[in-house]
Amino acid sequence: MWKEYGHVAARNVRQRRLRSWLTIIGIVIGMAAVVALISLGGGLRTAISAQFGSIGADKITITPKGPGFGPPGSFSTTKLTKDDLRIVRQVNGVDLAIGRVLSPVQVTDGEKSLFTFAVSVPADRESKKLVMDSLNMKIDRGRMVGKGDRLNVVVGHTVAEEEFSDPLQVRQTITLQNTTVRVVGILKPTGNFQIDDSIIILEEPMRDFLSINEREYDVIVAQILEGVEPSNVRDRIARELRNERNVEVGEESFEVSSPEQTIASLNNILLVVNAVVVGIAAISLLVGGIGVMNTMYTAVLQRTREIGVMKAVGGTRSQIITLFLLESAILGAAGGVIGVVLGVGLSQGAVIAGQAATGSALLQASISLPLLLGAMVFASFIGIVSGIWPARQAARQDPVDALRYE
Amino acid sequence: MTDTSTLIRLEDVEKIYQMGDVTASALAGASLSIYPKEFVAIMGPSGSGKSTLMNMVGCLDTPTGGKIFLEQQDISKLGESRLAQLRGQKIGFVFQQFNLIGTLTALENVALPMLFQSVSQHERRRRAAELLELVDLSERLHHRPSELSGGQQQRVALARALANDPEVILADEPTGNLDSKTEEAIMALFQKLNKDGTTIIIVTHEKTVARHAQRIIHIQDGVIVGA
Ligand SMILES: Nc1ncnc2c1ncn2[C@@H]1O[C@H](COP(=O)(O)OP(=O)(O)OP(=O)(O)O)[C@@H](O)[C@H]1O
Ligand SMILES: [Mg+2]
Repeated sequence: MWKEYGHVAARNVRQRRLRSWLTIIGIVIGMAAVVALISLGGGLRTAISAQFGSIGADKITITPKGPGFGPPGSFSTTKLTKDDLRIVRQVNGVDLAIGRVLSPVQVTDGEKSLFTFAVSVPADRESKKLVMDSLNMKIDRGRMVGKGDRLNVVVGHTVAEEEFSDPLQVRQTITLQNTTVRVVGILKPTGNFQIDDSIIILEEPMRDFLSINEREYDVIVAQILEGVEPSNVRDRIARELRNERNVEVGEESFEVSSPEQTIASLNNILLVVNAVVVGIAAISLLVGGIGVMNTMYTAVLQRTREIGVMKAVGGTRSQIITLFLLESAILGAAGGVIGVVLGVGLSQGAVIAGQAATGSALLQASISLPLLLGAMVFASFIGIVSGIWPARQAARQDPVDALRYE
Repeated sequence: MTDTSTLIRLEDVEKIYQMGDVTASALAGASLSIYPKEFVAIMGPSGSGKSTLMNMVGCLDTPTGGKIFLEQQDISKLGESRLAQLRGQKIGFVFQQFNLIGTLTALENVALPMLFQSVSQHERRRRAAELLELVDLSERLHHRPSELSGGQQQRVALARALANDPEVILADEPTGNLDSKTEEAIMALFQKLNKDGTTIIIVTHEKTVARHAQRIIHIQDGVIVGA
């Protein structure tokens, strides 16, 4: 029976093709926004936790605060020093602290020459683990550099796979500035495009090859003792460094941050963006619902005589309500289907655009079946709710008046 | 007055319209009886209450006074949904304006009354096709009303009126929009249906139409003046 009612209702929707299309635009836009937002929002959160998850909340990063923007090591004015590292190590609650050096470097494989970053790692096992954990570095092929590897390096995934005409191989030699070194390992993608595009090398040879001041660091990473509150340690480090440099709060030339802080602020931004898009989607769905209501009310007026006929041949109020509700549900569902398709397209487009812009697959859309089904059910629900008033209007018509209606 | 053989019986039926302070009386105490398998014509001047009477008999409208019996059941006080069911099961309407649904094909129009009676799709299509065959339209099953002539549309409407095998067919000036040749064809069809046992009540101005009936009821100013 439902199939038959649906058939009649669908026939009516198709009959006023252009009006039906115009009617569902609001629902299409609203549903597309909701679907794109939810799938990307989930993807963004996944990306953020993937980025920071492995680092853990028990590490604190100290970076110089320069006047300009840019990656650490490029434009910062006041570098961190070995004195800073010594002070950080003495702070209560710090288990282990290491310094890292970053520098642009010219690399050539004998054919092609390009600039990328060199990133230092400490030689001793425990410190090296701290750096690798904090940057989410994992070996894909070969091995990590360690004590004694003066002329050996590890390369990031992008350097190995994409920068040169032939992918770099383990045991291959490349030239850093004027020094020939051997690739002993290749990293897995880390999710951080800067690290993926880096050469990883022990700290001491790096300073030698690139003539870097032996007192300076670009980043200091501190591992917190178990059971200590990260934010307390963060504040103590900041205080000690201020004392050393003799500066007041707010005048620091350095920044102390813990990953949980970064994740929290990113999540806050996400929340705001979500709220804005949800607001727009809600308005658009509301407008869409009113559009359906308007169309259905017009249909009821236009089909007054038809309603009279349906009553004359035995249609009851509830049967006529059902017919009209099905019609508005079909409008809602059609808007939902098109909106979902558009929303999936939008989020995939954003993923591709994000990939093109950052060169990494950081942003992923997480599209789930419950999301798609839920969106369609919701759209049909909007259609039905918007149709209730016009449908009741239709069913309440007096049959004699309706039949006489011109 | 307790004649149990009547199909339809009206007792002092009144329909008074209140328009502000003014009242207009469309029916002012009409009484009549219709028997099964009759073919009755109702005649009267314009505004005499013919359509109002038909709507009462057809359960489309309720009287402001008096009683209407359909198969001994008083329908004058029934609720809306019960009336709708009675219309669907016992009454077949034929209108002057045909009143087919423009978006549906001939077959679907004829099947519509059965949809409301929850007849299965298979049975609906079978019976609709059978009825269209009866009115000689088996070549036009899938045509829309706009693709049919006036006479053909009225035959579809007749087939639709027969869909649920009603007790009575009520036709309010069914040939009012048709030329005289088509009128003859439609009236022949009514006669055929009547011969097959269907009760028919027809409202008309035309003597040419009324002469097909076995009995003519005259109405004037809302009262029956001769049966
Ligand atoms: N809804 C209404 N409100 C007020 N008066 C009405 C209404 N419907 C009908 N009437 C009045 O009731 C009277 C009978 O109307 P009805 O339609 O039954 O006449 P009729 O005999 O069918 O006329 P015609 O031959 O022109 O169709 C008329 O005077 C009409 O003005
Ligand atoms: Mg009339």
